[in-house]
Amino acid sequence: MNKILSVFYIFSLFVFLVFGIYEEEIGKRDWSIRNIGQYENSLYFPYDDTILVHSKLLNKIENIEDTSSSTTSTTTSHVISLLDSSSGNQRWRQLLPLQEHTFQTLTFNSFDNDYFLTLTNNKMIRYWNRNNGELLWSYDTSLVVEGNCNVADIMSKDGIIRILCDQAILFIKREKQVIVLSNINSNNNDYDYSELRSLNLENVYSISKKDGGKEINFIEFDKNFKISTIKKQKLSNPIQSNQLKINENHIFNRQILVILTTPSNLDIINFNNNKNNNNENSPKIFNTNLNKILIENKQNLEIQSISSISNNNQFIIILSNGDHLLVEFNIENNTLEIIKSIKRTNIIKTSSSSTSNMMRGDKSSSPSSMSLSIYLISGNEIVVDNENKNEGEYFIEVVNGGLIGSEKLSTISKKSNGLIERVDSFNGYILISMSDWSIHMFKLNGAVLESLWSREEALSFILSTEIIDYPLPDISKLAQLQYEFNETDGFFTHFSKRITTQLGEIFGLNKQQQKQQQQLKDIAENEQIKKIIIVTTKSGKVFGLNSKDGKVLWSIFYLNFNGESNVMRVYITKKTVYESPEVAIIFPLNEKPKSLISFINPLDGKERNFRIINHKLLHTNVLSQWSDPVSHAQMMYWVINYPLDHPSPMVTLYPWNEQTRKQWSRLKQNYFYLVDVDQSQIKGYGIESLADGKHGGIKSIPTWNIKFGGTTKIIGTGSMNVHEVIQSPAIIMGNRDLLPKYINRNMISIATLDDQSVLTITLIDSITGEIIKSFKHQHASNKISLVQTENSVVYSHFDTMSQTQLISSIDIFERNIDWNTETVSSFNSTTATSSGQLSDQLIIKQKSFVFTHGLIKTLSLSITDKGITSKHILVGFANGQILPIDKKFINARRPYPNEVTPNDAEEQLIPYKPMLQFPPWFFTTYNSTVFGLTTITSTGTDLESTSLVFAYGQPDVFCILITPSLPYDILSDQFNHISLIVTSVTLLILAFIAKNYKNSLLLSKKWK
Amino acid sequence: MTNFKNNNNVESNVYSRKWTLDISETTNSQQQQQHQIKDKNNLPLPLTSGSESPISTSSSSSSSSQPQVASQQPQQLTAKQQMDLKVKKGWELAKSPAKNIFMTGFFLWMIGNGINIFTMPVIIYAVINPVKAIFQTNSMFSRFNDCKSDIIQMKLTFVVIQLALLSVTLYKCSSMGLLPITPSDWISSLPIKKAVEYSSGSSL
Repeated sequence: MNKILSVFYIFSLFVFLVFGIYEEEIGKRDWSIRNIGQYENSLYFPYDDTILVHSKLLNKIENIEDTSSSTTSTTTSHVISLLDSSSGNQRWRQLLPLQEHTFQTLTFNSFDNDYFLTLTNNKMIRYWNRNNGELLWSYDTSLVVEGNCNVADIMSKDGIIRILCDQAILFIKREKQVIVLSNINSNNNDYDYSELRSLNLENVYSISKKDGGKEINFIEFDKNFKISTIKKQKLSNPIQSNQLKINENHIFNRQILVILTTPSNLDIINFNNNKNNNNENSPKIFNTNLNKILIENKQNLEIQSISSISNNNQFIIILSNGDHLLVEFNIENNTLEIIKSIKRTNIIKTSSSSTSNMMRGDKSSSPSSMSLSIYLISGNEIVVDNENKNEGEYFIEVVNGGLIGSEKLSTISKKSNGLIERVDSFNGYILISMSDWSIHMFKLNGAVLESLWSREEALSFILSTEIIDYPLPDISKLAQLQYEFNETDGFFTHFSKRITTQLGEIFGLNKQQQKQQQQLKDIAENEQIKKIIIVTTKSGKVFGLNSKDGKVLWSIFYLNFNGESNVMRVYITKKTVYESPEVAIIFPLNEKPKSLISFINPLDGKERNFRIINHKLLHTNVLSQWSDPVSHAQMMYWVINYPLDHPSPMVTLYPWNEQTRKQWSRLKQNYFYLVDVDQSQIKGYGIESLADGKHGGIKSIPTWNIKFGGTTKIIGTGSMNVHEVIQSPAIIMGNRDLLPKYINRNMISIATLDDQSVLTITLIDSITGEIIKSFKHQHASNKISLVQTENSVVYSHFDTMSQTQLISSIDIFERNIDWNTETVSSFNSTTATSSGQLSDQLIIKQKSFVFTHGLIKTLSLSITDKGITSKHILVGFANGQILPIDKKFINARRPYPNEVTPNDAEEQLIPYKPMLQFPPWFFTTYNSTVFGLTTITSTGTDLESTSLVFAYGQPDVFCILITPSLPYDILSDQFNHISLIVTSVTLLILAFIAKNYKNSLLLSKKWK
Repeated sequence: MTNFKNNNNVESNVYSRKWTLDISETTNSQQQQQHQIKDKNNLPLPLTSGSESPISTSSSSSSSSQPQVASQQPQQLTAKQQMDLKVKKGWELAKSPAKNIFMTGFFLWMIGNGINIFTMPVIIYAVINPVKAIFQTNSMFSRFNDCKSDIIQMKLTFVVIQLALLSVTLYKCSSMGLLPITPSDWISSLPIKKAVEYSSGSSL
């Protein structure tokens, strides 16, 4: 027995060792951001100064994998996390299952603060350990009751949980297994349990609306969890839905219930009264008309809403004219008194300092905007408003016993964070969530407000990314040279430029330029930054992240972004080699069908200029091969749906100036295609003629159209990565002959699925619209990822018949190639060869492999600077792991084992095996996961061997440096520089001494 | 007995007394034999080369000493014999690298196809030696310039054999992949074809 135990211990030691290796590696070359999503609600625990946060998480359901896709929809899931109140650090985080879209209750065990309870999806009860986030038990109420369950709370020390459902009230207890204590069903229709709400614990009351919302039932239970009495009360007026406000500040201080029945009537139920006077069986309802408490001259006012009830039964009435009334209900004599009236005549005031905001239709003009809120925090009244000052800053007014202090909320402003969504306060802390999804924590010390921390939760839903190099320290010189030695200028312009810059340098005339250069120098001095990852998020906020550690360098918030569309594209229009790089951010506006193109400086996130497009944007693209000679910006064009639904939509070239107008016909080299998923067809367009010489409008012409038929749906499109660099045009075979790759950057791959579950991968030349080849797979599911690299298309699909994850590769080679021509035109089967046979031109091979590591969520490609390092396919799994696989493993040329020729062996082609298996240390994510992984992007770094991989999902963000072919141009960490230097110097000295010694020896020998 | 001794011997009459004593003790026949041996030995060794080498001077000195020998033997016969001998020696020299072919081939075969620090010197010498030998052909055969009828053939044979030796080495190089003779060796010079048209697309 002892021997077995000792063997077991030894083995377990190995297991820990393996984990130890992972732990050692995590965080060395990677960083990750663990987001919690949109803030919803929180509970504060003074015991260990933590807040338990419930947040909402949007998840992307993707129909199309391509980054240019727009047909994405979202579902909601929920997250609970424990944050440190003073630092905002995450202690733990639990993501609730994706299929649970609704969240009803987050309540803690008031008898033991170490545990809390959640009710989600109207049926799942979960009981958690608060200290470590461990799920203790869960129970599905649909096992015992029908219908939805809406509220749950913990009733007693024994852990008895009461759940209020549509049809029943459920009492359950957990002792090793869940015991349903009582299931009070009401089938006799005497009571309507709908909209049951719990009031408090001791008295076990619940209320429901009946009789058109005019009646309230107070249900009391006996000790055996049976209904003992039901007391009915008539309200003064029928309840307006969702106007039930219950004092929830603390569970034991629930004394009053305020119900807004009509716009001028409040019903206040006093439970305290009931408790004191035991003779009276039911709680009393006191009806208060607004007119009674208001001063005479304000008779026409209505109550807009009531909010924020404090422990001392104070609450706030928000009037229709924007005035706020702070009122207190006296529980002794049942009267409502106005404590303070706050006049806000100019609540809605546009805070935009620049005209651009106005033009973009600022959200502030909408009535839903929240400009002013009053909160009661531990006896203090707090007014958060943005009415005054400039730049849309938010201020907080602290009213403390007659003293009013105004404090600026320094870290938030309307311009950069949008509107205040929710304010929560506890124990001096004020937690503010904004419409840009950020969470800000402040602490109130007396009347002084201190900003503690902020979390940018917008990063939990990234829409698109682009990675830009940070300028090198000597970039200003380079930029100047670029300016001076521009090839497109004539000799005289060149000469005059040289002279002016020289004179400018001498006399310091060109101050503007110098200033810019100085700014650039200052920025570049920060050598910590190598690259900036620009991410756009669903909240409308765009971030610049430092690729080294993921720190937010800058952010810009677009209030008027239409978040429903899930499209916010980023294009680099000017690279950092020029003195001022530029990035274009393109997104649809709230006012449909308008879109906005905003040009920002990616180094500081400042907007340079913008352009509004008044028609629906169909397509945008940046022309990497053509830049504006004046501004050095890459030319870009966009396609708009104008004339409306016309077969040839209008194309606009940008920037449009005299020089570009002369060369507009260069745009004729460009073609575009539009994938219509609803109609399952693809249309190709060319450029026809100049339509509007003033504004750069160009007419397009439809060139081809492929329709996949009614039952066939387009489920994925793939195209070549524009950032991919191709180094070799051919493959060297075993006999050292060349196999030319068919490199067609215009080839696109379309995945379609028909009603028979047949997946078809069609390779199309997007210039001519000709189908190059198509492959079919039976029994496929609709989850597919496509990635194109060089001459290959790699795609993954799930076989529903064999329940296997497959990954396939189509490799295309050319049979005959003319190496003397340096350009390649589009694929054309009829003119390319005399016979017109496809087999004469191309060699197309395809092979599928079974993937044993799990479901594939996304595929991507590792990109390096020069494209010399072997290309790896980055496989993102549904479980959040990332595995880079060398393309040689997913190679359609892998020969069957019985067909291997010596040449194949010489070429080091791996014999075909249907299963693909990789050791665990191949995973770049080590033993951690990127939750909700949806997309992986990659870019090259200064070192050819390294590639920067940026992966994101909902809600996690992960970034790592990978070396696909080992770090061949980097010295390892263990490399001993000192010993190298010491050895070299020693050898040098020895050589010098030896030489001198030899000379003297020779001399003395000759003298003999 | 070496050439140097013989040379000394010839000139000893003038410069060295020691050797004079030796001559006085030898008989004519002995002297004759000695001369014959000397003539034989005077023929250049195949390994030596260069017009300034001691051998070529000795050969000239031997030719100058021939009248002394001729005084005792029929001159024409000796000259013919000498020519025959010279031609024979010349051909020996011309053909001498032939036996290296197999040796080199075997040696190259033995070192394998790997490229490393041990194989590279062998390959380099195997390439350099024949090339060097070809360039030195004229100087090597300068002693046989008087064999006018055969000298060209001798040289040609020598060069051809050296070329054969070189080709063996080059074959080895090619099998080691050192020769840029396959299309794959020129892959870096092949152009990555640029597309004339550009295309991009979006989903609606």
